[in-house]
Amino acid sequence: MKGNDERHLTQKNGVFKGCYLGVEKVYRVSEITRQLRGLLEDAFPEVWVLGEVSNFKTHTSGHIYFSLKDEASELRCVMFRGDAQSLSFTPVDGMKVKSLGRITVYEKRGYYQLQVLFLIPAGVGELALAFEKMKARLQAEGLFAEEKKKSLPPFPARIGVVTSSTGAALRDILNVLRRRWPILTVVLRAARVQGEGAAADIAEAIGDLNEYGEVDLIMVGRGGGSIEDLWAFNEEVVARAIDRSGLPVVSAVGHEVDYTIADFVSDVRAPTPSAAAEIVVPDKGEILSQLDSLLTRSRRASFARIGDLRGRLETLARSYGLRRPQDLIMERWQSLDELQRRASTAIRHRLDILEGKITELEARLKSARPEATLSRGYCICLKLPQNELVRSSSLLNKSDGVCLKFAEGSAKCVVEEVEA
Amino acid sequence: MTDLAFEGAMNRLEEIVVEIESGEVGLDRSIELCEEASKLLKTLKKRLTDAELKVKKLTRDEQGELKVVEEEEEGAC
Repeated sequence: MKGNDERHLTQKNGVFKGCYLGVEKVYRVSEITRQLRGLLEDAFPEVWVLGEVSNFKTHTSGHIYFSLKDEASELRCVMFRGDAQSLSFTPVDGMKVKSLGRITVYEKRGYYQLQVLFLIPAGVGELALAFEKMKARLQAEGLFAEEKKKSLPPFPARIGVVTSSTGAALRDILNVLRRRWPILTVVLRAARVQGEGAAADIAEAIGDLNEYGEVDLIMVGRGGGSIEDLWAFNEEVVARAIDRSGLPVVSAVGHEVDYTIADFVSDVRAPTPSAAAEIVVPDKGEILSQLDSLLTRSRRASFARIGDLRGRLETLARSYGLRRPQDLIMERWQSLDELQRRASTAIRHRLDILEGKITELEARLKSARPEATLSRGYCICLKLPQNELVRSSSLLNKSDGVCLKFAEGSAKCVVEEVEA
Repeated sequence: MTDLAFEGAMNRLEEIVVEIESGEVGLDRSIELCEEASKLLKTLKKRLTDAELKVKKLTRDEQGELKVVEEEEEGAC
């Protein structure tokens, strides 16, 4: 068996031969790493390297970690606290720098790095330059024009989201939307947001959501990261897709200080995915209190209306027009009273006259009484037994009884003779 | 396809309030309007309070046609 294997390997690939036979040394990982370290450190004890700073981080220990990069490669760098303290400026991502240092190997991870001793700025980095160039070109083309910016609907019902389906950005967006405005449907078009093909995927996703059409706006973004991580959002294909979008696009690329080309082309730029979510929907609490204030206003207005009407009613009630009938009645009463007064006066007057007349009549009557005549010497003759007044002798016959009445007393007599 | 129902209802509410405030409507009408406003408010509040965020995923099927699938609760995270 051994012979067969050996022959097979030998035929297949000569490289294995020596190894297998144990002719050459077999290294342990740490041994080969240490040897490489020696080689590299001897070869590059002091070198100047020109590159763009990225992933710049200051550790709590005071050591600084970053990378230097150009279009093709990246070099890890470390600057220990002692050296870092002598820095005359604060390096930031994207800054082109010249650094003096030596190449070492970080044995634990097995990678080589530049141990930086000295660092100086070296003008605008090439990536940043490329960024500025493209920005200027797209700006000249009018992709960033204010008048092209579409406004966001005040009450969106469906929101398209282009981001990684596994990223923190999506989680942040959903959390904010759920808290602020849960009457929503989120349509996620998952896309790679960094690395190879990310820009094309993002651009296609924006196109897909436009083709789908049933969203009110599109949020495009990812969480914060280094300028390289965010680079897809600086690529022209993304800028063009955003520009073509018929739906409003909100850029939601993390990291407040970094602007991406996508931020400039988008209709609205938000500094982070969470902030984008805050911008695109109203706040439930605010709307609820607005609704309450509308209710208060409508109630107050109708109470005011009722109060107003009541006031008018009271004024009307006090008005001359409505008092008029009452007045008329009172006037009638008054004239009635007056009539009554006049009537009673008239009656009284009449009675007075009558009374006068009666007195007069009474007096006349008195003077007309027979007694008055009798007292002057006359007498009244009454035929008995009926006491018939005798005005003529023709009523009497011989022997009739008569009664003669005098002013004082009377006498019964018998007729002796009648004369005509 | 914005939330026309919500927006419309909000606008209607504003209209109602302005109309009542103008004092140009009769009392009966203003009471009617007030009732309409209360109903609208109730509906809107209920919608806001009861709503639950829906998450869907836009993908393409084998034929390359766009399709939307319902997401499981927070499945994307």
